[in-house]
Amino acid sequence: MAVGGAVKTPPNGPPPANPQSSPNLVSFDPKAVVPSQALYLQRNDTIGFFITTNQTGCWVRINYRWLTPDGEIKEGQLDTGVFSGFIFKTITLFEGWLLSFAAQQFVIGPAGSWAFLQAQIYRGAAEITLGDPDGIIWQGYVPGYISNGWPGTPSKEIGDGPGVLRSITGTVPGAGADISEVVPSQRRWTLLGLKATLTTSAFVTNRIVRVLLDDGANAFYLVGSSVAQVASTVINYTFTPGIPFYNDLNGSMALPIPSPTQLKSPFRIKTNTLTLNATDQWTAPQYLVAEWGTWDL
Amino acid sequence: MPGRIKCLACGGIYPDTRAPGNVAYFHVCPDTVIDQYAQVDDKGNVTKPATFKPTPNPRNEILKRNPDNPREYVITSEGAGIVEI
Repeated sequence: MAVGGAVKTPPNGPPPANPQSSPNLVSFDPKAVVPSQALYLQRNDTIGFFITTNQTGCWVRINYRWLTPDGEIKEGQLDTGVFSGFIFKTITLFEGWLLSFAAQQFVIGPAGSWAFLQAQIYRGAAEITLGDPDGIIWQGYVPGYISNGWPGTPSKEIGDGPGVLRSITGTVPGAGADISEVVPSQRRWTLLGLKATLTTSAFVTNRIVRVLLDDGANAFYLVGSSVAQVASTVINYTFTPGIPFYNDLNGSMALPIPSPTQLKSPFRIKTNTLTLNATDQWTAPQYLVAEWGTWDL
Repeated sequence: MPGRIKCLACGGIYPDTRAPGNVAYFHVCPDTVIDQYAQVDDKGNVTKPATFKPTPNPRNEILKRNPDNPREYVITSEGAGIVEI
């Protein structure tokens, strides 16, 4: 019976197990047992780690273990150093069985950041060409406070999972210009909402704010406000998926965008304001996206 | 908090995320700018709609493979340049 526990809490728990006392019928010679992992690497094999990130100043640490032909388990550590965008690092084990590796962001990234790692095998260290491996061991997102790796968790595609939430401050357009934001290369977004404010000049005319989505060349979505913005006013506009146009009559309007609004590079999120005047001014758009990496440019 | 950059092509101002510790932001100039603003009568009705022209010497910070070194990525076009503000 278990003992201990909090004050006034009676000891409880299951009774101890009754161990079996009969001898084993099967035995093993440890020196003749092959490792459970089938990942054997020869002397001219190289393991390549390709890491892509949306950060500036990412740093990933990879700890790994392998079994030598002499039966010794060794450990190693690879530090990428600070990098932005992407990096490709390699290690060689000389000969043996790769048992495991675990990767972690050594420097915690800012909010909205992510890093994705793909572990590859190359034959012939002298002829390594990025993007031309002979095998893929594992791929997945590398977190900050904990590790991820092989063989611990199943591989993930770069487009798997819920994505990373990013709140982005966009470009303040020049005076008399509309908003234009572009999805960067190797990114996929779901646009969850966008807010921007238009301040109109004293020039007397009615502005009609419209939201426009295009694929970098051709518009595939264009919807405008059903209420004009007159001169010398300040109106907040929010692009929101899945709702009809809404005017709260207190200086804010909501325009609908598709539900969901899924975008990839080089798709654009724009305003297209009818009769915009030369001294009208939009603020920087502030928008929320769920972001994934992609492999296509 | 990142600093700010002004694009000399379109006049847009955006966060400077080049320093470590940021999530990268890539500015791209709009493809067109207004050439002639809409003309209106004294009641504010449009008499002549606005006309547009391509943005002169646009900046595009979207990354692409360096044609001289496929293992590197470079921005698509420098455009008229930038200035830190």
